[in-house]
Amino acid sequence: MKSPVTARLRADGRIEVLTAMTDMGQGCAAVFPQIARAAGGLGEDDVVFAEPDTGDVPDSGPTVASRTTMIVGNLIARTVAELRDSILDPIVGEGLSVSDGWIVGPAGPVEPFRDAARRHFETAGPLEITHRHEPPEWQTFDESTYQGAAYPTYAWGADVVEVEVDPDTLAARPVAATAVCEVGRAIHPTLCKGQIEGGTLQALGWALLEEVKLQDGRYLNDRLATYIIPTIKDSPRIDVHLLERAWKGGPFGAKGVGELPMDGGAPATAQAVENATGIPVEEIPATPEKLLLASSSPVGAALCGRAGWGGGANGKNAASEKTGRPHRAAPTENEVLP
Amino acid sequence: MERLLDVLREGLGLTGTKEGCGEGECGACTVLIDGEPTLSCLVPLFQCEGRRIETVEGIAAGPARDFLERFVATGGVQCGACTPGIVITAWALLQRNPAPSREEAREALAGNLCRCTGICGEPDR
Repeated sequence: MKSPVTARLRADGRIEVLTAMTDMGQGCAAVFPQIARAAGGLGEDDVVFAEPDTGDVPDSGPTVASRTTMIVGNLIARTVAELRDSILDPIVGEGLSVSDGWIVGPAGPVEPFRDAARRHFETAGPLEITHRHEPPEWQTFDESTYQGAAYPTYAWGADVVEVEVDPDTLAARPVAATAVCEVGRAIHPTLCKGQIEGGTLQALGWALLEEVKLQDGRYLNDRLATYIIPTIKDSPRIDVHLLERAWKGGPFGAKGVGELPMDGGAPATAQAVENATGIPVEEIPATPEKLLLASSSPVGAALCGRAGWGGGANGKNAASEKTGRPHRAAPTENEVLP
Repeated sequence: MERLLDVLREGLGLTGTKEGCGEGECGACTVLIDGEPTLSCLVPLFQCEGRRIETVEGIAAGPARDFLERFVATGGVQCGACTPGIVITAWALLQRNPAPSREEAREALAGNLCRCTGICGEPDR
C-alpha cells in the first residue's frame, strides 16, 4: 500500500497535512499533530490537519488494522520535516534549526518559523511535498494470495486474566486482568493505554459473553438486547503496562497498537476457566451451557442430549475428542463439576 | 410520535446527546428529566410537558464544568459516542451522593455501554 501523505505550505505560513485517516475514536486526531509538531519542531498552532474528505486528501489507505500511527504517522514525520527544511534552506545562516515554532541560530532564537514560512510563500509561491510508504525490501506481501508480511514489525503483548467460576452455575466472571504491551513508543500514553483497556475488555467479552449467532444467513442476535457486551459491572480492574523500546521504522519509535489488545485476553480467559474448573475450553465464549456440555458430567449430556466438545457422558477424565488431552483435574473438581 | 431525543437533536440542535441503539439498551442518549437520568430515546415528547430537561450542554455550561475537565484530563473518553450519557449519569450520581463508593459508581453506570476505552477506569475518574 503506497499511502501517500501530503504536507502543504499555506499562505498564512502554517503547514497543512493531508491524510485519509479518520479518527473514529482511536485518537489519530491527537497523535498526528503531536507527531507533526515534534518532527518539524513546530509550535502548537503551526500545523493544521485537513478533514479526511476523499475529494481533498490523497488516498493514504484505509483507517484499519494497526497501521495508522505506525505507517501514516511515520510518513507525516518525514513529509513535515522535509517541508520545513525546504522553507529553511533559502534562509541565509549557518546551523539554523526549528524548535517550538522558532527558528534558532547559534546566538539563540531568530524569528518565529511561521513568519519565515509566510515570507517563503509570498516570494516562492505554493510548496507541497508528498511521500509514499516504501516497505523495506525484505518485506513482501502477495496481494493475490494475501500471504507474506503485512507489516515490517509488530507490537507484542502478554495477558494475565484471573476468573471466578460459580461451581453451581459454571458462570465465569473476570476479577482481574493485566495486559503488558511492547508498543515501541507510546506517542500519547493515555490514549495508548485506553486502546489497550478497551481492547482487553472486548476480549473478555469475546471469551465469556459475545457470540454472533446466525441462522440461514441472518443474525439471530443483531442488537444490544440480544448480543451481550460487557458493562461496567462485568469489567474487572485492568492493569496496563507499556513496554517502550523504540523501533527505528516507526514515528519516534512507535509501533501499531490497534488490534493487539484483542489478541491475548480471550485465550488467557479460556485457560483461566480451564484452570479453575478442569473442563477443557475449546470454544469461546465459555458460557455456562458450553462448559456444562464439555464437562464429563452426565447432567450436561442428559440436559442437552448430546456430548459436548469434551467427550460428554463418557465419565470423568475422558480425553477430549478434539485434542486428545485428558481433562485436567482441578483442585476443587468435586465442588466445581455438577 | 416524536421522541425527546429527536426534538433535542433535530429540533433544538442540541447534538451533544447521542443516539446509540435507539431502543433503550446503551445509555448514550441519557438526559436528566427533573434531575433523574432518563433515556431520551424512549421518552415521547408529550410526556415532557412542564418538566425540566437537562442535557450535557446544560450541565457543561453550569456547575459541572470542573467535573468535565477532570473527565477529559484523565482520559475518560475515546470515540465519545457514549460519553455524554456517562457524564450525565455520573453527574446525577454525584448530586445525590457526593462521595460514592466504587461499587455504587459501578452500579450507577451499569446502563451505560462503552466499547472503546474500557469503562473499567471510569469510577476512578
